[in-house]
Amino acid sequence: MSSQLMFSINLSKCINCKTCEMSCNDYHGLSGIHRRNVVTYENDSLIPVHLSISCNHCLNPVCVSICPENNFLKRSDGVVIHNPSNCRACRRCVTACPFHAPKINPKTNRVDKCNLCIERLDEGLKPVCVENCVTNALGIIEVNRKERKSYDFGEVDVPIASYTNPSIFVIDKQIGLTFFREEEA
Amino acid sequence: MKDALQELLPLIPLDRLKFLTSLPKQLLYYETIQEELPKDWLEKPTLIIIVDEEEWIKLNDKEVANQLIQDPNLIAVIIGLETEVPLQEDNVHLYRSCQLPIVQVADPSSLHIFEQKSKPVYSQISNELAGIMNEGFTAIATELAKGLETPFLYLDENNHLLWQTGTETELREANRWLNTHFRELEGMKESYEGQIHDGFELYPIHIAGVVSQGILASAKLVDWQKRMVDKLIGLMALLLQTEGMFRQQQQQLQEHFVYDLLYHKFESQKVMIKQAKAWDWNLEIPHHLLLVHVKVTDELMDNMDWLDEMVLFIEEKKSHMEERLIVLPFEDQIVVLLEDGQSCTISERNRHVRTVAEQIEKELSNQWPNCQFLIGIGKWYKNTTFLNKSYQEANQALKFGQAWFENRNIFHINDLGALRLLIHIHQEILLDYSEDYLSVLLESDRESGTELIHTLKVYIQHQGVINDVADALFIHPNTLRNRIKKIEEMTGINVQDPEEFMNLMVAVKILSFLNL
Repeated sequence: MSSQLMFSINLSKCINCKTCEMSCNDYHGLSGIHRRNVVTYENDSLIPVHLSISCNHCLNPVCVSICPENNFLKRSDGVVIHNPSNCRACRRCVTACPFHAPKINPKTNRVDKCNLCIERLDEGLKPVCVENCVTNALGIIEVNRKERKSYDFGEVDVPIASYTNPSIFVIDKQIGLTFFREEEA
Repeated sequence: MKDALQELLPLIPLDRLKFLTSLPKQLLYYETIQEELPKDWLEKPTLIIIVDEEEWIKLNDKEVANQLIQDPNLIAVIIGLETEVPLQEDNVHLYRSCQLPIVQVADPSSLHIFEQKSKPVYSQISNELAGIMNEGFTAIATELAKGLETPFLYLDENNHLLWQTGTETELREANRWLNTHFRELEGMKESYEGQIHDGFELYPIHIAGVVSQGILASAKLVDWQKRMVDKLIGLMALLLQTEGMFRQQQQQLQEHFVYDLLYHKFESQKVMIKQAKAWDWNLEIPHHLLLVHVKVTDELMDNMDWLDEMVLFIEEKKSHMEERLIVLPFEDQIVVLLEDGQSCTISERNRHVRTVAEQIEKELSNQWPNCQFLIGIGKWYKNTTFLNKSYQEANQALKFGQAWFENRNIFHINDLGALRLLIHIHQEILLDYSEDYLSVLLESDRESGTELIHTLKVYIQHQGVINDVADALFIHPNTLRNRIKKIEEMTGINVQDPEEFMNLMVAVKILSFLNL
């Protein structure tokens, strides 16, 4: 009841291989859209940072309040899912989501978004993107909802909107240290 | 020949059983036990008991799976490990469709019951009770429903649905049956035997000889399955003998319902209304949703029950009010549902809800003067299945309202005005817009430590009344006039021109929204 499943993203480990994107598309049979995207940006230290992002299963999802058909729901494990049966592709959620998570699936002409592979979760398996991440940069954690509420992105340098309380845990990129050998006499 | 597998399972505590696939109805007899997955075809009917982690990992292997499902002598696989056993979905699907029973017994000490000459087994009722208290009745019932392929519908003493588990199709069928046979349920509770219907059967739970609740399950269950359900019911009844436990269980079921109400969308309003009646809530009538957020003092934080005390306080006060309220604690906040089925104009409706919110805020502030109470109000919807939207709107009203209206305590979603529109627009577009107007002021604030953006924000909040703005900023009115003049020079905008000023105002609002 009071738990929330979250993606954990280790920015030091992501190598921009996009296996998460591809495995998601392959598993869900998607073409023409991506539920997950790896975005690259530069932080203050001008080092490229890769952030793999999809639906953040927010605590206060804006898609829920904006959908005129009330098609979004949040499960007891915190996963936000979309029921496409009544979707009329009005695109309100597509524009409102600060993370661009809902997208129009060109095949069905209805909204499509990450559902954290709930069918796999129900079987005790990890989401397919997490399972296939070659560097373990992407993970899944379960946290107490109260703890989630007190966490913000102040400590990490990530350009992410936090007004919806996105449920992702970001581990900041560590800057590598270079050790120079002393010259031999 | 040994006992059938299904006859032995009831000897294991229910909380230790996890059904990875369902069990067939007909009894499964085995002659030998093996602790490793077979490399060749089995010669005798065999039960495989896996106690080694490396062995269960093999169950995820495609080739192993193909061999296992084709072996006619493989009776079932028992996994005797305490840790969680994740199996790949494809393989689970394969095992399930080929009806290979896989059961996890998370209690290795119970595995001896499968042996040919096992030690005598005694009732472990106290252990089982402890197990059911730890795991929770709902988790165990959900697991058993998977193993027996039946839905379970928990009905209260008035036969109102409190909780349910099962697959979507099973639940749909069960609810349909419940609607048509509602009147016959009372008779079914009186006598346990001989009241079996075609579709479903009611198992009564008599609690302390006072209350009679029940669980509805498929009527197609065979004897061994009924014994398992009976065991579940017996444990449940024992657990609920104490009033405290009974209340706790009712509270848990209520929590499930409230979560569904605020985060889920009920597909059927009828089901929602019926379920809500279990707590005497009339959700046939539309309700306003108010969300009370408490800024608690450190002193009060030490008291673990502060939220419950506040809920009780509102409950007590509502008895003196004309309005009908439902008060609930939810995720460290208080949710108040205010009944409002009157036909009136939007402004009258908003005024009414605001008056009630002010009353609640006043009462709470009087009782706890050191705490700050903020109330967010969502939109009013005629259809109560939209309360989940109203809850999110109340959250938004709280969040944006606090950032913009610093001196207010009550925020209606409609108060947000243009801020509400901003939610619909891409963040990048908003950022570009605000930077077009405010980049010079931001740069000056950053580099010279001026407070031009803050000054502008307070200027807008106080409708440009110089004395009020100066008071709020703790500066002299002439200092303020100088700052405004500087802002005009830097941005090239005349704050006295309504059209130009409106653009600046929207840009400032966007900035405060983006900084949340």
